[in-house]
Amino acid sequence: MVDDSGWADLVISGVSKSFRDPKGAEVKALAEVSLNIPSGEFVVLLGPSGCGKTTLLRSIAGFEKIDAGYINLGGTRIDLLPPHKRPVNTVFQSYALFPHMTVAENISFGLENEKIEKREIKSRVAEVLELVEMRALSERKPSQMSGGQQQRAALARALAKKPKVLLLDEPLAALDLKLRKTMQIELKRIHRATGTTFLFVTHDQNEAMALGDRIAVFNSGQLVQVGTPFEIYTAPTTEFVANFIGESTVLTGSIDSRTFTGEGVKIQQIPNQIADGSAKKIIIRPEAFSLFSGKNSVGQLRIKEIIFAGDALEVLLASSTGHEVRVKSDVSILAQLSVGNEVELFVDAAQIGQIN
Amino acid sequence: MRQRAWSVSNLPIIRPMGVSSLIFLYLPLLTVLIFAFNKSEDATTWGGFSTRWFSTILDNTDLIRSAKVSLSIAIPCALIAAMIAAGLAIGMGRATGSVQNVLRALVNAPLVLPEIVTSVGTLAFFSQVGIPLRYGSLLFAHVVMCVPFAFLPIRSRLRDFDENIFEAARDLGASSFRVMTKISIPLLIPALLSSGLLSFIISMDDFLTSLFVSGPETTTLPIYIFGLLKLGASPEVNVIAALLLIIPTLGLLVGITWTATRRRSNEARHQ
Amino acid sequence: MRIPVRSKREPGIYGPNAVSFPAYVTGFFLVGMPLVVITIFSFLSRGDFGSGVIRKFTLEAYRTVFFETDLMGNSSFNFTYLHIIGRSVLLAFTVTLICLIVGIPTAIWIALQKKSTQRVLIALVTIPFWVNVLARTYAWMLLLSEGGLFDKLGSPVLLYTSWATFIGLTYAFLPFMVLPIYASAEKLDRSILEAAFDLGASGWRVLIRIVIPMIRFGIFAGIAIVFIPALGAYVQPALLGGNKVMLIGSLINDQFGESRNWPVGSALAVLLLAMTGLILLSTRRRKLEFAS
Repeated sequence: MVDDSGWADLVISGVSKSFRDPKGAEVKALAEVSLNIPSGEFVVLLGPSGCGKTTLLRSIAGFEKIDAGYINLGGTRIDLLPPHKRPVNTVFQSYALFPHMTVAENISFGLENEKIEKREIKSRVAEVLELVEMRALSERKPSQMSGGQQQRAALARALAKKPKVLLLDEPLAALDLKLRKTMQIELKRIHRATGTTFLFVTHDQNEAMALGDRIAVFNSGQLVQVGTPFEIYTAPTTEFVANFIGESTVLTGSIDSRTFTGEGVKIQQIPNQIADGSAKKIIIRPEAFSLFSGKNSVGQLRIKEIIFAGDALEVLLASSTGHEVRVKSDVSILAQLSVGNEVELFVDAAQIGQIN
Repeated sequence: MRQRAWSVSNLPIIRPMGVSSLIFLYLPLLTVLIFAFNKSEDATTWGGFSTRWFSTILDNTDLIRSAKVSLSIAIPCALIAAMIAAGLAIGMGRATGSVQNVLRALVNAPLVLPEIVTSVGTLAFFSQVGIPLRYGSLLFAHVVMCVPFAFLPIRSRLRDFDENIFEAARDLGASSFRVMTKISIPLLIPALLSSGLLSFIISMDDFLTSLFVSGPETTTLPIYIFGLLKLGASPEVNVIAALLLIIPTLGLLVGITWTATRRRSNEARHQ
Repeated sequence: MRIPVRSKREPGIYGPNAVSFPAYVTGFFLVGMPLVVITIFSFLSRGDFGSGVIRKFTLEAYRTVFFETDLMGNSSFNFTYLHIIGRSVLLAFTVTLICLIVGIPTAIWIALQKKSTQRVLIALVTIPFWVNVLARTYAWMLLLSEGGLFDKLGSPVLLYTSWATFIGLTYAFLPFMVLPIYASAEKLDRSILEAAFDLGASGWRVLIRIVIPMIRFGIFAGIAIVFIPALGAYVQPALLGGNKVMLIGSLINDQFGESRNWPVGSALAVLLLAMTGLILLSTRRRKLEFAS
């Protein structure tokens, strides 16, 4: 495949897809999803299971036919093409290596499908094996390798095709935590080395934060927010995003002359970008709060629960109306806290965000 | 193995019933096996050990001829049925068209319909269309009977594989034809062997369909033997029945041992 | 922008769709057409010279099965054929019942052994199934005949009686009953049985209230695949029953052979087909009830 970067942008426009559940009812897996992905970007599709992220990936690969909308790649419409004619390749969650072929045979299978010279195939196989550091295992069959090794082989197989977009469907889900961390770093290295667009599906928000240049958050078939990990974390636009990515306290109330009142708490010095009004929802990350000391006091709140997490303390407070407030704190204050007591809560008002 | 809080014997009657079933299943077979070595002229009375009756069946030209007819049908039948069944399993994929469902139900019908119905139906159909009852018509009657059986191991093996494997092949640029030749068929080879074996045994054993659809020159082994059995027990039939018992059993044992060794070596490799 | 849905057909995942064509062709011509032809034959008239049919529509074949006309031209029920059908149903029912009583405990027993023992026992149940039905039937001729083992042990000579047919059919179809029940019993979660015992249930209660309901689909499948072939059996009634007692299988056979009345034979085959359909529907409907 020719590398025509710049023209290899992936454009997903108004894509919808419905399934029938076993009872015959229609389930919308994708509802008018639009997303532009510039060439070379690492985009993570994030959401809970059944949110449509995998359906979108499979629609780009060609395993699902979309009901409406279109998918363009490098200026060409691809959603009408059968999967084997699309210049994209997939790394499957189950690896899907051919069990009767060695690693090298698995990789050359894809290249033999394009009329590529034998010598060229050999050198490309060697190249990708080098890239994923699997040279020594090229003659192994899938059953003779560990999960992590199979993962690298599957990656090499897809990359050998030099796809315009590499689709990764929860490829690290089956690995244990330590190996997953290693593979995340590997993936970033490989992404930089190849310059290919990576479209990565996961339900793990930490993985999404670690990997993505941008994250696209999905919920029940809809694309709810797209942005860099920093934007998504600091400025979630909906309550769903706020709760799915990291933890947060969402408060509903009214804002009048820079003071928020609601859910039994009063917060002053609300940032100017949040307009006055009633029935406003504000969101505050746990680390924006502090206990005992700070500039902007919220008042005395009762301690509901204290969770020791090793490097930090999670403290759950209850406002006078019983609304839960999550606070992340330094472990040093552990001795001063006990469940049922009241403690003074402070907030860094600059970190307060607004959701719709 | 971990000690369990209860054992099989906690459930009533299952052990005595299970053991009785096995006795019930094997008593007749053992009797046939033993009486094949009976010296006596009287088929049902034990008169000492002898293999004399085994040699007599070799001189029975009708028996040999009908056995050849059966083999000449069962061998091509096994090949054709396994191929057609593999084609069905590969080609149908996950398709769920209503026309296809009807056709697939027809293909599988011999599995559930009483054979007397399908066999008289086939006879009536052949006579109506004017197809003479010769080798070819009998062969194809056997093939349709075997296809649904041959289909079972192939289908279940395909289902055993992760569907993503086949999607991955498409994803890597293989046409559906190449998926079949490079992925599906190589993975199906063990299943194709069992399909062939299954079809061979079914064809060799078939009596009713052959009874209706065979012509004078296609008297199969079961038809010939049925004729003998109608006359009652005889030392010669003892031997024939014993052979009908031993040959497929040995074949099956070889097959079972082979798959068991394969499984064991696979399991060993996975560790 | 919206575009219409394309063809709903899934592309072949394992290979081209076209390779299933030969199966569909043989299924259509060699299974579907014969069923259509006998259905048509059952509404045609008997051929002049015995064999075959002549193309004249009539309900004569069905009338022959159900009614008889005396010399005065009065019609009344013809119990000869109805008796044969009723007897066949009764025999198939009894065979199925005995296979159930023996097969259910056997299948559960096998399923509760350890894996390697299970494989051996299932092989043992399967082997008789692969031995030629004539050889298996002959084994019982040997055991039940005059001078045979059972005779020598003092049992009455059962060969060429309905008892012999009954034993032969039960013998032939017991593996058919055990295998599907085993297939569902094998998936039983042992911890559920442990829980039942733990809660103080007796063995019988566990068997009847826990195990049997959990393997009911295997039991339904077993009922269908024993009852149907037992209903249309030909070999065992002919060899063990000595064709003394007419059953529907031998009756159809006769109509296409000695008696040479293809329309009546076809009508009987259609009736057998209808009964088969009823059994399949009734054993399958249970599954749907559960699903909903």
